[in-house]
Amino acid sequence: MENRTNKKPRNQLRQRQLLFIWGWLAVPLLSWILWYWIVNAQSFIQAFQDPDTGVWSTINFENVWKSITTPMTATGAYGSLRVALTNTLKYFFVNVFLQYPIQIVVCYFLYKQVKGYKIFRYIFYLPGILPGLAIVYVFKIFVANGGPIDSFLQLFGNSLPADGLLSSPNTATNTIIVYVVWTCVWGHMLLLSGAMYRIPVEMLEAARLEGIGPWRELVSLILPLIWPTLSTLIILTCTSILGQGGPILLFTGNNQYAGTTTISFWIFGKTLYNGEYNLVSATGLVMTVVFCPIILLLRKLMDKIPAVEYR
Amino acid sequence: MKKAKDNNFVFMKKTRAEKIIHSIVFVIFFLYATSLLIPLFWLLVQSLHPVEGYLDVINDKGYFALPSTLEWQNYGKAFTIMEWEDTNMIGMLFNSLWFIVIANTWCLFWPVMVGYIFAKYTFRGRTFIHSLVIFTLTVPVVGVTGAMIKIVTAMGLYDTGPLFVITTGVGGFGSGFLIYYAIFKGLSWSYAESVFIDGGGDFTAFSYVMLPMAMPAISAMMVTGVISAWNGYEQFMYYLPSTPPVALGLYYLSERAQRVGAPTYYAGLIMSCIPVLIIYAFMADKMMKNLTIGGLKG
Repeated sequence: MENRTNKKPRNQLRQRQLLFIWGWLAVPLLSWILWYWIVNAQSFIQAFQDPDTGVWSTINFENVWKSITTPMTATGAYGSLRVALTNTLKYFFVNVFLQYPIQIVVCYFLYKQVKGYKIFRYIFYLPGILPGLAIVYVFKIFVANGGPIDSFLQLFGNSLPADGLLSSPNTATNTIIVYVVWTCVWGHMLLLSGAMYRIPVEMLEAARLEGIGPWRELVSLILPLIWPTLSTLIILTCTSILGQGGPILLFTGNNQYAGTTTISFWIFGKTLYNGEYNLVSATGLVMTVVFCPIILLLRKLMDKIPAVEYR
Repeated sequence: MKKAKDNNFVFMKKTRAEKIIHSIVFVIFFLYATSLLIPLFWLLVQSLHPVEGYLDVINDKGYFALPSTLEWQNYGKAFTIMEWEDTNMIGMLFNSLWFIVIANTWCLFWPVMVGYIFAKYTFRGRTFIHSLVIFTLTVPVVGVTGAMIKIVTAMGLYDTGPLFVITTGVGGFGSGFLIYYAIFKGLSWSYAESVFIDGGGDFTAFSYVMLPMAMPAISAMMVTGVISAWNGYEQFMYYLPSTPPVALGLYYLSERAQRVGAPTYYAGLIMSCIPVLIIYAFMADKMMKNLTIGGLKG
C-alpha cells in the first residue's frame, strides 16, 4: 500500500481537508452566529428600548433597579427580582456545597461496588429519567396538609401548617430545596462515574498496598484524578448560576405569592405570560455584567489547581 | 477489559474498615432507594383505583388506601380522555416522537461533527473560535428568550413544529462541544491515518473509523438526549405552543386532574414513565461508564 501523499500533491490534499473542515463547520457557525450572537445583540438592543415607543431609553434599567430594591414581600407578578435573586443564590450554594459533595460520595461508593451497587445505580438515576411532573406531583401530595407526612407527624402530636408547606413564603422555597437535594444524586452521576471508571486500577492497587483507607483514597487519590471533570462541572455550574433553581413551575405554578420565584422563573414568567421582553433583556444584561467577572475570576482560580495527568 | 477491571481485587476484596463502612453505606443507600421508589409505586397503586368515589376513599382510608378493584382500563381511558385543546394523548405522543427523532439525529449530528473537527484538525481560526466558544460557555447569559421569540417570529418559525427544531437545532458550540471534543480527543489519530493510506478521504475516516469508535460515548449522550427530549416541555411552551408533547400535555392536564379523574391522570403519568424506564434499563451500564468531558482551559 502506498501513502496517498506520494501520489497527490500535498497542497491538493490540504485543500480537500480544508474543504471538509469548512464545509462541515459552515452551517454550525452560521447557526451559532444567528442563534447566539445575533440573539444576544438583539437582547442587548431591547434592553435599551422603551417597551411602548421603541426609542432609546433607560426605563428598563430603572425598573430592574426598582424590582431589586422592592422589599422581600414576594407580591406582584412573579415576585420581586430581589426575592428571585435571593432564592437563586440559595439554590446555587446548596448545589455547590451540599449537592456536589453528596454526588461525589455516592458515586465513589457506587464505583467501589458497595453491595447492590448495580441496582442502586439504576434507582438513583430515576429522578433524572422520569418526567419531573410525576415525581413533583406525588411529592406535593406527600407534603400537603392531610397528606402522608402530615398523618405521620400527627402520630407524634405535630402537624404541617394548615395551608401546607408550599403556600407560605416561609416554607415553600425550603420545601422545594429539600426536594431538589432529595433528587440530586443523579445530577452529575454520568460524568463523575465516567471519570472514576477511567482511573487506572493500578493506582488503586498501589494505594491498597500502601494501606490507605477509604477517606484518604477518596480525598487524596480519587478527587485529584477526577479534578479535570469536577472543575469543569463546577465552572459550568457557576456559569449557570442565574439558571439555578428547582422545578418551580411544577411546584407552585403561577402562584408567586408563595415567594418561590428564581431568576430563571422570573424571566420565564415575564417572557411567556407578561411579554415584558425589554425588561427581561435589561435584567439579563445587568445580571451578566454583575456575575461575569466573578465567574471569570473563579475560573482563573480553578485553573491554578493542578490537574493530575494520566492515560 | 472492563469486566476484568470490575473483578479486580481492589473492588472484590475489602478490608475490615471498608466492610464496616460499606455496610453502613448499604443501609443508607437502601433507605434512599426506597424513598425514591415509594412515589412511583404510590402512583402505580393510585392509578388502579376506580375513578368513581376516589376522593371518598382517600378521605376515609387515607393516601395509602389500596384499590377495591384493579381498574386497568384507566390506562386505556388516559389515551381517550386526556386532551389539551385540539391535541389528545396520541397527538402528544406523536409530538414527543418527532421531537425525539429530530433532536437525536439531526441536532446530535452537528455537535458531534464540530467536536470531531476541533479535536482532530488544525486550521486557521481554530484557536480563535475555540477560545470564543470557551468564553461564551463561561459567561452567564440569561434573559434572551424575549429576543429569541422576536427573531423566531420575524423569520416565520414561531410555532412551526419540526421546522423550528430543524432550523434552530443546528448547534455544536454549546456545552455539548466540551463533551464531543473530549470524546474525539481521546481517540488515536493513527486509525484515521491508516484510512488515508488506503486512499480514503476525511469523511470516510470520520464515518467508518472515528465515529464507530466514539459510538459508545455518543450513544450514552443519545440516551440522555432521548430522555431529556421526552421529558422536556419548556421549549414547547416558548416557541411551539400548538404542538404539546406528552410532558407538556400532562403538565397542562395536572390542573384539571380531578375533572378527568385523578386515577386516570395518574395512569397517564405512569405511562409517560414507561418508555424512558425501558430505554434506561437497557442502557444504564453504558451510560455510567462511557461519558467524559473536556476542560475549560481555552
